[in-house]
Amino acid sequence: MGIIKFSFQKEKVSEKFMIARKFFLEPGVLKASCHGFRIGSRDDYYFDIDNLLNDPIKCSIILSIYLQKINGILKKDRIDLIAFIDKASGGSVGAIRLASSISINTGIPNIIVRPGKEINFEKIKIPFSKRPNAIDGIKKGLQKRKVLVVTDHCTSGIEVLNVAEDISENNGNVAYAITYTLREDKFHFSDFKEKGIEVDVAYVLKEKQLKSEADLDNNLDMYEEKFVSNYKCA
Amino acid sequence: MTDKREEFSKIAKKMAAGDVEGLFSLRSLVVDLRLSKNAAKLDDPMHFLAIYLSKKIISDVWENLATDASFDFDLEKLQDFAKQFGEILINLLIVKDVKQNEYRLGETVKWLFKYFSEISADPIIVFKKKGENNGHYKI
Repeated sequence: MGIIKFSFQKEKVSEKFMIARKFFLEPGVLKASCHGFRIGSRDDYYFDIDNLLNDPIKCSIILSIYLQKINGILKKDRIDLIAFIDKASGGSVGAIRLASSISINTGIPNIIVRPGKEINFEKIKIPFSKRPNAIDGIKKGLQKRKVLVVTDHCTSGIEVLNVAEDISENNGNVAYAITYTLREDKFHFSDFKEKGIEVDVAYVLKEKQLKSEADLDNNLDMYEEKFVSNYKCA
Repeated sequence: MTDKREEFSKIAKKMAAGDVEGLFSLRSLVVDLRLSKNAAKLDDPMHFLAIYLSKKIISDVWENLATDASFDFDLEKLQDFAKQFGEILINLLIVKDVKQNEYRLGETVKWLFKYFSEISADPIIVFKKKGENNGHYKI
């Protein structure tokens, strides 16, 4: 396991949080829509991180925020693997685009979870073992490794809960999840508490769509260090 | 899903009545469904076929028209699709007439993909004038 070397000056990270806060007003980030969400429900708007990650400067700021969040976990616990979701449902490509960068910066191996697969051991893309012991490798799976799931956005969080189940079926244990944004009015806080998954979030979006700087002040919560699941469920 | 046959049939009837909201309910019902788990539990192959087709076809609809597409569902346009697909599901779940379904299924799926092709060729058909709705506009 790599030694965690990355560190940020607190002021600089706070500054990045403040800069990234304004990204929500950029075109194509919060989309006004009566779209169908992945889960089949509908709402007036949705968050799309993909356009932000196209821009190297914005991407670097968002990466710093994710790293700050991971650093927060590493101060109190260990993480063996960081899991990214290969979203098969046609929504945003999401945080998987940051998988290599996050892995390089933290020194923690990354894995890809593919919920669209039907065969359990195919859902986690890692080389289980070399032949002729491949079957043993599949049976051992992730060998109780402690996993952090990194995602871009949670509306209800069901997708992350399903991924946690996929990882659990492969003998891993999801202890933490980090999401860049979360819908406070729709998120299933209690399900995460029940599963023992601690959720951290950078920005909590509320029911109202953000259209102006005044909306950012009134309807956007920033969580630089606090774990939202503890905040909501304690 | 084995214990949701009644709910599934209700949604199919809603769709067959031309209620496009049934498509949203169908998506909710099947989006995270594991076909492999259901294959072991379901005795009725017609029931399984209905689930399989729902999951696959609704995934195509969502992947192309919902989630992060840059325009909204055209509800009126999809009403006919919902009706056709709802009737196919009823045939599988209740009437259990496969033969009657074969042609209609081909016709319905062909319509869907032809619609995708039409959107590609002429995006104006899904992008309404500014002010008409806030569907695809970025703030």
